[in-house]
Amino acid sequence: MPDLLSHALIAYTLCTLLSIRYGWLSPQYVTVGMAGAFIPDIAKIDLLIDGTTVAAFIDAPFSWFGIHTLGGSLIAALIGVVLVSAEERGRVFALLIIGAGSHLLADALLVKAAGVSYPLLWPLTLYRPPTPSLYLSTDVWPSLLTATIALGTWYLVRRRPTDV
Amino acid sequence: MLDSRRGRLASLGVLFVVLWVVCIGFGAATAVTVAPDLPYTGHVVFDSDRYVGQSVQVSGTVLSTDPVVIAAEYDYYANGQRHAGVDRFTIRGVAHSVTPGDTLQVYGTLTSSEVVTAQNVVIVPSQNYWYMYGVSGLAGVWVFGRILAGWRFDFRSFSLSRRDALQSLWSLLSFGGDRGES
Repeated sequence: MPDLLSHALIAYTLCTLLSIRYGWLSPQYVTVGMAGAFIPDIAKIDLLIDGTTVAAFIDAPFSWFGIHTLGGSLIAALIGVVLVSAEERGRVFALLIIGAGSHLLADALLVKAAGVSYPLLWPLTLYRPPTPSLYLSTDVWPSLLTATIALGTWYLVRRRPTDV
Repeated sequence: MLDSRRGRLASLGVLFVVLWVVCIGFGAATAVTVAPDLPYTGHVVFDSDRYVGQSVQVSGTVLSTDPVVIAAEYDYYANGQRHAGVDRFTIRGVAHSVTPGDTLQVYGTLTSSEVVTAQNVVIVPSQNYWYMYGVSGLAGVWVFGRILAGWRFDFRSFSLSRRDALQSLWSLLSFGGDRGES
Protein backbone atom coordinates (compact mmCIF):
# COMPACT_ATOMS: atom_id res chain seq x y z
CA MET A 1 0.00 0.00 0.00
CA PRO A 2 1.19 3.47 -0.65
CA ASP A 3 1.35 5.08 2.73
CA LEU A 4 1.08 4.33 6.42
CA LEU A 5 -2.22 6.19 6.68
CA SER A 6 -3.88 3.70 4.32
CA HIS A 7 -2.41 0.79 6.29
CA ALA A 8 -3.60 2.27 9.59
CA LEU A 9 -7.08 2.89 8.14
CA ILE A 10 -7.36 -0.69 6.84
CA ALA A 11 -6.39 -2.07 10.27
CA TYR A 12 -8.81 0.35 11.95
CA THR A 13 -11.64 -0.85 9.70
CA LEU A 14 -10.86 -4.55 10.19
CA CYS A 15 -10.55 -4.30 13.96
CA THR A 16 -13.62 -2.07 14.30
CA LEU A 17 -15.67 -4.57 12.29
CA LEU A 18 -14.33 -7.39 14.48
CA SER A 19 -15.47 -5.43 17.53
CA ILE A 20 -19.06 -6.10 16.42
CA ARG A 21 -18.42 -9.83 16.92
CA TYR A 22 -16.05 -9.60 19.88
CA GLY A 23 -17.34 -7.45 22.71
CA TRP A 24 -13.93 -7.16 24.39
CA LEU A 25 -12.45 -5.42 21.35
CA SER A 26 -12.50 -1.88 22.74
CA PRO A 27 -10.86 1.16 21.06
CA GLN A 28 -7.69 0.37 23.05
CA TYR A 29 -7.46 -2.97 21.25
CA VAL A 30 -8.29 -1.39 17.88
CA THR A 31 -5.19 0.74 18.47
CA VAL A 32 -3.14 -2.45 18.88
CA GLY A 33 -4.29 -3.63 15.44
CA MET A 34 -3.37 -0.24 13.97
CA ALA A 35 0.07 -0.42 15.61
CA GLY A 36 0.43 -3.89 14.08
CA ALA A 37 -0.10 -2.34 10.66
CA PHE A 38 3.09 -0.33 11.24
CA ILE A 39 5.23 -3.42 11.91
CA PRO A 40 6.32 -4.32 8.35
CA ASP A 41 7.39 -0.73 7.67
CA ILE A 42 9.95 -0.92 10.49
CA ALA A 43 11.99 -2.08 7.48
CA LYS A 44 12.00 1.58 6.36
CA ILE A 45 14.75 2.06 8.92
CA ASP A 46 16.76 1.31 5.77
CA LEU A 47 16.28 4.98 4.80
CA LEU A 48 18.20 5.99 7.95
CA ILE A 49 20.68 3.13 8.30
CA ASP A 50 21.31 1.51 4.96
CA GLY A 51 21.05 -2.29 5.11
CA THR A 52 24.08 -2.75 2.87
CA THR A 53 26.13 -0.49 5.19
CA VAL A 54 25.12 -2.77 8.08
CA ALA A 55 26.09 -5.78 5.93
CA ALA A 56 29.53 -4.34 5.21
CA PHE A 57 29.94 -3.51 8.90
CA ILE A 58 29.08 -7.01 10.15
CA ASP A 59 30.62 -8.63 7.06
CA ALA A 60 27.52 -10.68 6.32
CA PRO A 61 24.47 -10.24 4.06
CA PHE A 62 21.81 -8.13 5.75
CA SER A 63 18.47 -6.67 4.71
CA TRP A 64 16.01 -4.74 6.86
CA PHE A 65 13.32 -5.98 4.49
CA GLY A 66 13.41 -9.28 6.35
CA ILE A 67 11.02 -7.50 8.74
CA HIS A 68 8.68 -6.83 5.80
CA THR A 69 7.91 -10.57 5.55
CA LEU A 70 5.78 -13.08 7.42
CA GLY A 71 8.68 -14.30 9.56
CA GLY A 72 10.09 -10.89 10.41
CA SER A 73 6.68 -9.39 11.24
CA LEU A 74 5.89 -12.37 13.45
CA ILE A 75 9.04 -11.86 15.53
CA ALA A 76 8.44 -8.10 15.72
CA ALA A 77 4.85 -8.77 16.89
CA LEU A 78 6.21 -10.96 19.68
CA ILE A 79 8.14 -7.93 20.96
CA GLY A 80 4.77 -6.21 21.45
CA VAL A 81 3.38 -9.33 23.11
CA VAL A 82 6.23 -9.43 25.66
CA LEU A 83 5.47 -5.84 26.68
CA VAL A 84 1.93 -6.55 27.91
CA SER A 85 0.62 -8.57 30.85
CA ALA A 86 -0.06 -12.32 30.61
CA GLU A 87 -3.85 -11.92 30.31
CA GLU A 88 -3.52 -9.50 27.35
CA ARG A 89 -1.03 -11.53 25.34
CA GLY A 90 -3.37 -13.67 23.26
CA ARG A 91 -5.49 -10.71 22.19
CA VAL A 92 -2.53 -8.42 21.54
CA PHE A 93 -0.75 -11.07 19.47
CA ALA A 94 -3.85 -11.73 17.35
CA LEU A 95 -4.44 -8.03 16.73
CA LEU A 96 -0.80 -7.24 15.92
CA ILE A 97 -0.83 -10.11 13.41
CA ILE A 98 -4.09 -8.88 11.84
CA GLY A 99 -2.56 -5.41 11.43
CA ALA A 100 0.79 -6.65 10.12
CA GLY A 101 -0.88 -9.25 7.87
CA SER A 102 -3.19 -6.64 6.31
CA HIS A 103 -0.12 -4.50 5.58
CA LEU A 104 1.77 -7.36 3.90
CA LEU A 105 -1.27 -8.31 1.81
CA ALA A 106 -2.01 -4.72 0.77
CA ASP A 107 1.61 -4.30 -0.32
CA ALA A 108 1.36 -7.48 -2.40
CA LEU A 109 -1.18 -5.67 -4.62
CA LEU A 110 1.18 -2.83 -5.61
CA VAL A 111 1.91 -2.14 -9.28
CA LYS A 112 5.02 -3.98 -10.47
CA ALA A 113 6.28 -3.89 -14.05
CA ALA A 114 7.02 -7.64 -13.92
CA GLY A 115 3.55 -8.42 -12.55
CA VAL A 116 4.91 -10.20 -9.48
CA SER A 117 5.06 -8.82 -5.95
CA TYR A 118 7.59 -9.61 -3.24
CA PRO A 119 8.46 -12.67 -1.12
CA LEU A 120 5.98 -11.83 1.66
CA LEU A 121 5.80 -15.44 2.91
CA TRP A 122 9.52 -15.73 3.63
CA PRO A 123 11.02 -17.76 5.35
CA LEU A 124 8.44 -20.33 4.20
CA THR A 125 9.20 -19.55 0.57
CA LEU A 126 10.88 -16.91 -1.61
CA TYR A 127 7.95 -17.17 -4.06
CA ARG A 128 6.73 -13.82 -5.33
CA PRO A 129 2.96 -14.10 -5.90
CA PRO A 130 1.47 -12.42 -8.97
CA THR A 131 0.13 -8.95 -8.28
CA PRO A 132 -3.02 -7.49 -9.82
CA SER A 133 -1.08 -4.17 -9.83
CA LEU A 134 -3.91 -2.18 -8.28
CA TYR A 135 -2.02 0.94 -7.16
CA LEU A 136 1.32 2.69 -7.10
CA SER A 137 3.05 3.46 -3.84
CA THR A 138 2.57 7.16 -4.60
CA ASP A 139 -1.12 7.08 -5.56
CA VAL A 140 -3.39 9.41 -3.58
CA TRP A 141 -6.70 7.62 -4.13
CA PRO A 142 -6.06 4.55 -1.90
CA SER A 143 -5.84 6.71 1.22
CA LEU A 144 -9.01 8.58 0.22
CA LEU A 145 -10.83 5.29 -0.37
CA THR A 146 -9.64 3.65 2.86
CA ALA A 147 -10.52 6.84 4.79
CA THR A 148 -14.05 6.79 3.36
CA ILE A 149 -14.50 3.11 4.25
CA ALA A 150 -13.06 3.65 7.75
CA LEU A 151 -15.39 6.60 8.30
CA GLY A 152 -18.36 4.52 7.14
CA THR A 153 -17.35 1.69 9.49
CA TRP A 154 -16.96 4.10 12.42
CA TYR A 155 -20.44 5.51 11.72
CA LEU A 156 -21.97 2.03 11.34
CA VAL A 157 -20.50 0.71 14.60
CA ARG A 158 -21.33 3.92 16.48
CA ARG A 159 -24.96 3.74 15.41
CA ARG A 160 -25.29 0.10 16.41
CA PRO A 161 -27.36 -0.49 19.54
CA THR A 162 -24.98 -1.53 22.31
CA ASP A 163 -27.51 -3.44 24.42
CA VAL A 164 -27.66 -6.43 22.07
CA MET B 1 8.91 -15.08 34.19
CA LEU B 2 7.72 -12.65 31.50
CA ASP B 3 5.96 -10.48 34.04
CA SER B 4 9.06 -9.27 35.80
CA ARG B 5 11.18 -6.41 34.50
CA ARG B 6 14.19 -8.67 34.28
CA GLY B 7 12.30 -11.40 32.44
CA ARG B 8 10.85 -8.91 29.97
CA LEU B 9 14.21 -7.31 29.23
CA ALA B 10 15.80 -10.74 28.74
CA SER B 11 12.97 -11.81 26.40
CA LEU B 12 13.21 -8.55 24.46
CA GLY B 13 16.95 -9.08 24.12
CA VAL B 14 16.41 -12.56 22.70
CA LEU B 15 13.70 -11.33 20.29
CA PHE B 16 15.89 -8.49 19.01
CA VAL B 17 18.69 -10.98 18.37
CA VAL B 18 16.25 -13.25 16.50
CA LEU B 19 15.02 -10.26 14.47
CA TRP B 20 18.64 -9.43 13.63
CA VAL B 21 19.20 -13.01 12.49
CA VAL B 22 16.02 -12.79 10.38
CA CYS B 23 17.47 -9.73 8.61
CA ILE B 24 20.73 -11.59 8.00
CA GLY B 25 18.80 -14.62 6.72
CA PHE B 26 16.70 -12.51 4.35
CA GLY B 27 19.81 -10.64 3.22
CA ALA B 28 21.48 -13.97 2.43
CA ALA B 29 18.40 -15.33 0.63
CA THR B 30 18.09 -12.26 -1.59
CA ALA B 31 21.82 -11.50 -2.05
CA VAL B 32 22.98 -10.53 -5.54
CA THR B 33 25.28 -13.54 -5.51
CA VAL B 34 22.20 -15.80 -5.54
CA ALA B 35 20.55 -15.93 -8.98
CA PRO B 36 16.83 -15.22 -8.48
CA ASP B 37 13.89 -16.02 -10.77
CA LEU B 38 13.58 -12.33 -11.47
CA PRO B 39 16.85 -10.36 -11.32
CA TYR B 40 16.63 -6.71 -10.25
CA THR B 41 18.96 -3.79 -10.92
CA GLY B 42 21.54 -4.90 -8.32
CA HIS B 43 21.75 -8.42 -9.76
CA VAL B 44 22.19 -7.08 -13.29
CA VAL B 45 24.87 -4.58 -12.25
CA PHE B 46 26.67 -7.27 -10.22
CA ASP B 47 26.86 -9.81 -13.04
CA SER B 48 25.15 -8.66 -16.24
CA ASP B 49 26.63 -11.43 -18.43
CA ARG B 50 24.82 -14.01 -16.34
CA TYR B 51 21.41 -12.51 -17.14
CA VAL B 52 21.74 -11.57 -20.84
CA GLY B 53 18.79 -13.08 -22.66
CA GLN B 54 16.74 -13.34 -19.44
CA SER B 55 13.79 -11.34 -18.12
CA VAL B 56 14.81 -8.64 -15.63
CA GLN B 57 13.22 -5.70 -13.80
CA VAL B 58 15.21 -2.48 -13.56
CA SER B 59 14.19 0.94 -12.20
CA GLY B 60 15.61 4.39 -12.68
CA THR B 61 15.17 8.02 -13.65
CA VAL B 62 14.87 8.99 -17.31
CA LEU B 63 17.95 10.85 -18.53
CA SER B 64 17.12 11.06 -22.23
CA THR B 65 14.26 9.95 -24.45
CA ASP B 66 15.73 9.16 -27.87
CA PRO B 67 16.75 6.52 -27.10
CA VAL B 68 15.30 6.17 -23.60
CA VAL B 69 18.19 6.00 -21.14
CA ILE B 70 17.63 5.62 -17.40
CA ALA B 71 19.96 6.19 -14.48
CA ALA B 72 19.43 3.17 -12.24
CA GLU B 73 20.61 3.39 -8.65
CA TYR B 74 22.03 0.22 -7.18
CA ASP B 75 23.06 -0.65 -3.65
CA TYR B 76 24.14 -4.15 -2.75
CA TYR B 77 26.56 -6.09 -0.59
CA ALA B 78 28.91 -8.63 -2.14
CA ASN B 79 32.40 -9.96 -1.48
CA GLY B 80 32.63 -8.26 1.90
CA GLN B 81 31.85 -4.78 0.54
CA ARG B 82 29.01 -2.39 -0.08
CA HIS B 83 28.59 -1.44 -3.73
CA ALA B 84 26.43 1.62 -4.38
CA GLY B 85 26.17 3.88 -7.38
CA VAL B 86 24.31 4.64 -10.58
CA ASP B 87 24.37 2.64 -13.81
CA ARG B 88 22.85 3.57 -17.15
CA PHE B 89 20.49 1.33 -19.06
CA THR B 90 19.14 1.95 -22.55
CA ILE B 91 15.50 0.90 -22.73
CA ARG B 92 14.15 -0.15 -26.11
CA GLY B 93 10.50 -0.59 -27.01
CA VAL B 94 9.05 1.99 -24.58
CA ALA B 95 5.45 2.40 -25.75
CA HIS B 96 4.64 5.28 -23.37
CA SER B 97 5.63 8.89 -23.83
CA VAL B 98 8.24 9.65 -21.17
CA THR B 99 10.06 12.82 -20.21
CA PRO B 100 13.44 13.29 -18.52
CA GLY B 101 13.00 13.13 -14.74
CA ASP B 102 10.26 10.47 -14.84
CA THR B 103 10.92 7.37 -12.72
CA LEU B 104 10.49 4.16 -14.68
CA GLN B 105 10.09 0.57 -13.62
CA VAL B 106 10.94 -1.62 -16.59
CA TYR B 107 10.30 -5.31 -17.09
CA GLY B 108 11.88 -6.82 -20.16
CA THR B 109 14.68 -8.86 -21.66
CA LEU B 110 18.28 -7.94 -21.00
CA THR B 111 19.52 -7.96 -24.59
CA SER B 112 23.05 -6.86 -23.74
CA SER B 113 24.76 -5.84 -20.52
CA GLU B 114 23.18 -2.35 -20.50
CA VAL B 115 20.22 -2.66 -22.87
CA VAL B 116 16.74 -3.82 -21.87
CA THR B 117 14.01 -4.50 -24.43
CA ALA B 118 10.86 -3.57 -22.52
CA GLN B 119 7.76 -5.72 -22.27
CA ASN B 120 6.10 -3.54 -19.65
CA VAL B 121 6.94 -0.08 -18.36
CA VAL B 122 5.44 1.60 -15.28
CA ILE B 123 5.86 5.35 -14.88
CA VAL B 124 6.02 6.40 -11.22
CA PRO B 125 5.18 10.10 -10.75
CA SER B 126 7.80 11.49 -8.39
CA GLN B 127 5.72 14.54 -7.42
CA ASN B 128 3.44 12.43 -5.18
CA TYR B 129 6.21 11.45 -2.79
CA TRP B 130 5.59 14.48 -0.56
CA TYR B 131 1.99 13.36 -0.14
CA MET B 132 3.04 9.81 0.75
CA TYR B 133 5.51 10.97 3.41
CA GLY B 134 3.12 13.64 4.71
CA VAL B 135 0.15 11.33 5.31
CA SER B 136 2.45 8.61 6.67
CA GLY B 137 3.71 11.08 9.27
CA LEU B 138 0.11 11.99 10.06
CA ALA B 139 -0.72 8.31 10.59
CA GLY B 140 2.26 7.97 12.93
CA VAL B 141 1.02 10.87 15.07
CA TRP B 142 -2.54 9.49 15.04
CA VAL B 143 -1.60 5.98 16.16
CA PHE B 144 0.97 7.21 18.69
CA GLY B 145 -1.72 9.49 20.15
CA ARG B 146 -4.14 6.55 20.35
CA ILE B 147 -1.51 4.44 22.14
CA LEU B 148 -0.96 7.23 24.69
CA ALA B 149 -4.71 7.58 25.18
CA GLY B 150 -5.42 3.87 25.58
CA TRP B 151 -2.25 2.41 27.06
CA ARG B 152 0.20 3.31 29.78
CA PHE B 153 3.89 2.44 29.98
CA ASP B 154 5.26 1.45 33.35
CA PHE B 155 9.04 1.80 33.56
CA ARG B 156 9.26 -0.26 36.78
CA SER B 157 7.89 -3.42 35.18
CA PHE B 158 8.85 -2.27 31.66
CA SER B 159 5.35 -3.06 30.46
CA LEU B 160 2.37 -1.57 28.70
CA SER B 161 -0.96 -1.80 30.47
CA ARG B 162 -4.37 -1.00 29.05
CA ARG B 163 -6.21 1.94 30.54
CA ASP B 164 -9.70 1.18 31.78
CA ALA B 165 -10.97 4.26 30.01
CA LEU B 166 -9.50 6.28 27.17
CA GLN B 167 -7.50 9.21 28.50
CA SER B 168 -7.81 12.46 26.61
CA LEU B 169 -4.52 13.63 25.19
CA TRP B 170 -5.16 17.02 26.73
CA SER B 171 -5.28 15.52 30.21
CA LEU B 172 -2.08 13.59 29.52
CA LEU B 173 -0.37 16.84 28.62
CA SER B 174 -1.64 18.64 31.68
CA PHE B 175 -0.28 18.26 35.18
CA GLY B 176 -0.83 14.84 36.67
CA GLY B 177 -3.35 13.87 34.04
CA ASP B 178 -1.82 10.42 33.79
CA ARG B 179 -2.20 9.81 37.50
CA GLY B 180 -5.91 10.43 37.52
CA GLU B 181 -6.71 6.95 36.29
CA SER B 182 -8.17 4.41 38.63
